[in-house]
Amino acid sequence: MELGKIVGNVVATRKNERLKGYKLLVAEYITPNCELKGAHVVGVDLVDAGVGDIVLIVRGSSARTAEGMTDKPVDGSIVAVVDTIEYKGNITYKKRNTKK
Amino acid sequence: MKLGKVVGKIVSTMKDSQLKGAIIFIVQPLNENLEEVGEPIIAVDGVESHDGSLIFYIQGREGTLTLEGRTIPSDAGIVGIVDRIGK
Repeated sequence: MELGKIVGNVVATRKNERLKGYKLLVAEYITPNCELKGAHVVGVDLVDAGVGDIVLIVRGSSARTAEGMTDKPVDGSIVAVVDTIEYKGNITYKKRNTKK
Repeated sequence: MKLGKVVGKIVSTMKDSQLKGAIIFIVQPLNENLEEVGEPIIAVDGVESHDGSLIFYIQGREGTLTLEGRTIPSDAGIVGIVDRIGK
């Protein structure tokens, strides 16, 4: 999987029929130290992620193993909102529990 | 498969239900001389490895087969712990 930071959402009225009803979020890939890797993905949000969240994205055809994605034209599924990243003995990220 | 070392962990409570109970590690890829090469990857643990374990991992579609008896939404998985590499 890839770690990514949600930076925005994509609104698209004209799109593949089978994408209808799904939230599409733009995530910038980050390193375990939360540095931007300079690449992004548009992923289908399956875990109610929000802008600013750190998430896990499954790429390629494995993305269609995510819940409900079997027959969808998707190669990037957001499958987890990250609470904590522990890397080389340090906590490099901890999600602040902002009440929604 | 490729050699790697477990160097960290990702904790998530809000996740795809198929990932419930799955342990997600950060793996530093190694070359055949066990030197660190390339960027860390995120992989589901399939063999009860732990921080510092010398392992080997798979990537791509096969990542969905990392856990016994169920398919999971994953594109990388740890599938073995290395005891030693004989030269």
